Amino acid sequence: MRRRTFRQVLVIGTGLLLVGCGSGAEQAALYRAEKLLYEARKAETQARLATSQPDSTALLQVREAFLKVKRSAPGPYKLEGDARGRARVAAIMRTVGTAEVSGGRLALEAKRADLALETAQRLQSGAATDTATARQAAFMAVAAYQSLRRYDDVVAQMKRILATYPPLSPPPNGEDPVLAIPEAIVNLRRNLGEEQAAARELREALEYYQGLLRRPQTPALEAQVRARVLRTHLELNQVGRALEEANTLERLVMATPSLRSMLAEVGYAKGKIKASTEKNPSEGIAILDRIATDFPNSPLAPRALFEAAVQTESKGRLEDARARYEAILQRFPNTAEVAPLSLYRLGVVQEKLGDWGRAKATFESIPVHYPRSTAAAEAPVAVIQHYAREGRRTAAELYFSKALATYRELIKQDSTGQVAPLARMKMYQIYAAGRDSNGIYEIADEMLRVDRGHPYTAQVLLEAARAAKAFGNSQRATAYLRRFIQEFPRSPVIGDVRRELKEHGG
Amino acid sequence: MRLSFEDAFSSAFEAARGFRWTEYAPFFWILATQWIFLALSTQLHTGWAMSIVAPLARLAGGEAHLHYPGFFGYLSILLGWLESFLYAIPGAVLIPLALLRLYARTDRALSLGAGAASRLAGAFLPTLVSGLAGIGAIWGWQRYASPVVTSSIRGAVTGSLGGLLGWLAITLGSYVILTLLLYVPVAAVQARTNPIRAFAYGIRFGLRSWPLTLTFAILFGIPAILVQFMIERQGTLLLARLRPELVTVLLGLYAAVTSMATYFTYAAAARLYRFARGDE
Repeated sequence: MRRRTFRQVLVIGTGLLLVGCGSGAEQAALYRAEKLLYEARKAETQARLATSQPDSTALLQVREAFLKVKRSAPGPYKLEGDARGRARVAAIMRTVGTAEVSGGRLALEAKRADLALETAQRLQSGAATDTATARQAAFMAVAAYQSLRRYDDVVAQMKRILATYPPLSPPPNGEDPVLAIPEAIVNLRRNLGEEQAAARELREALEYYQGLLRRPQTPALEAQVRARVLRTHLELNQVGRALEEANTLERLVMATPSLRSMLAEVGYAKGKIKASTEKNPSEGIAILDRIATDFPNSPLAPRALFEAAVQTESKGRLEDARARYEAILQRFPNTAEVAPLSLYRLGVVQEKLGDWGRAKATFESIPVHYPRSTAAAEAPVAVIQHYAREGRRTAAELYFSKALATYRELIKQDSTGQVAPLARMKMYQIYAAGRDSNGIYEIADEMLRVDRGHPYTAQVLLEAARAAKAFGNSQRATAYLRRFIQEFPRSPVIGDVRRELKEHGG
Repeated sequence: MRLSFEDAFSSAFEAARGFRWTEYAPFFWILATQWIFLALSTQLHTGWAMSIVAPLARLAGGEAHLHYPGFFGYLSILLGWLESFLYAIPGAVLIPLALLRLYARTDRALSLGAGAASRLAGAFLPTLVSGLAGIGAIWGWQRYASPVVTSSIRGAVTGSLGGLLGWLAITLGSYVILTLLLYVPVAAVQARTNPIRAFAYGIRFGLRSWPLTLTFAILFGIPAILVQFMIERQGTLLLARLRPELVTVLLGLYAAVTSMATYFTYAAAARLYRFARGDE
């Protein structure tokens, strides 16, 4: 009897242990993944503490630590079983996804966009059931394409995000990055010098936002979408519709106390419309000024002040404009959107006020303070143009070497950023102005190597071909035209280029 | 017979001087179980360790803490539950066994044979009840009384000193409860007794000798209090800055010093009880 009881207890105990082992294995896999993720994050913190800017080798080593997480829980993952089991599997997927995304981020930082893209593509296809990870991976793919300068893919990927992921209701003081994508597409087109495409994208952005409003949204999200609609109307110069949208937004904001901070958006739009359309812009400028004082923590505060400064400058009130640009630089020096531009405009205003010494110092300070801004690439040209306007050709030519050195420094600091192609383009223009054939060929070859597919490269190739022909180097001119046909087969001027190449006998 | 501090100290001194492995062994089994549990806690990345620890954590209502590194912040609580269980349930056999082995120094018959077995059996129930009562009382003290005590101390003494004194008051409060119940197992292993009488005698002697017992219990418990202080007050530092697994080393040390302190406290209490009541 006793033996039988003992046997029964043993069988039941073993059974329970085995059942426990099943869920234990899953729980252990989750724990293992969490541990490795924790260790990888710690390794990253240590790497960043050791040096302010870890080199790519260090970053890729840390990335390896993140990749271990996936190896520790390789899957496949199936959301099956009871609620507890499904929650566990989902947690494993989320942990592995977080680690993979971190690995991709580090690969991007280590200038290995190819690795980041590979990770992003894998995550997008494999993380179908974990939307949060797939969403992050989709954004990582955008950054990777951007780094690889595959601009058509950037736009395609951003549009895929818009089609796949509807914007989420925002967290407190936040905004779903999906909402910013249409604006990012427009900005990208503008940075590439594709104004027509940018205008088309702007209209598409408006359609997208209006489409969102046709579906029921939470008040917070609706307000943010309406704010985007409002900004797009303003950009499209649709003043009447913008005003209408501003009033709708104002009513929504007034009815929802938690959205009061969005009154800045309404004020900004109304101020901008009044300042730009009314004969006397003072009231509009005063509204814009008030936003900067009433909502100092709003991202619209520096923009409103900048808008007020621009409006004041356009009306010829240069001293007032200068005071506002200086105020922006003093109060919001780290706002990448307007601070570099304000410093540039300040230089322009100082020049207009006849204080060239100070204006030159201002222009020369832009690449130092904001090396990753387009204003930094425009500043040396502004100095050269000043000398040209004054007819001081020698002074302008003497400034060429300083400008070229500035551009080289800008490229060195951010070789894969959006400023680098612009800086190379400006270098080309300086070499062309100085009729420096070696410089022209050198920069054209460099752009072919590092800015492949960029519209500036297309422009430089055509101009370099013409310059080479003018220098009597028809062989090089033909080579540049051939490369243009090869690299930009969908260019609207491709027919002309083919004809030109035929004329060269190519 | 009126007991003095001198009697208490001589019992404590004798207990410290007369350490014997066989007497300590039952406490060591409890300690060994705690150490095995802590070792398992460092292996939760393996399925087998997780399938043992996870059900225990679930029983203690702490399944949500089975994540890295948060688990190591919760481990002291989980170990506290395990410690309570071990000292109350298996302890209901092991503590009387250690006491019988101690008394066997003067009465060899107690260490072996039927006499020892019947005393052990008789001591089980009162020891179990006192152990469970102790756990309940300490849980109630920490849950309901400690917020009041802590806030009133913090009201009187501000800053980190207030926090330290509040923590000390809570810890010493637990010692006060334990020393009141300490003599139940001691009374339960005596000859010619029954569970009810043992329980009543134990509580009565606990009340009678309370300040004396509390004094040597705290003296023996100082290392454990210090380690506990380090774990509870510096736990965040260990988790955030150093390796979270270091918590298990400290908890292992805490379990060891608590085990030794418990043994010495019972050894001193057994001597004091015999001294006060004479050989039975």
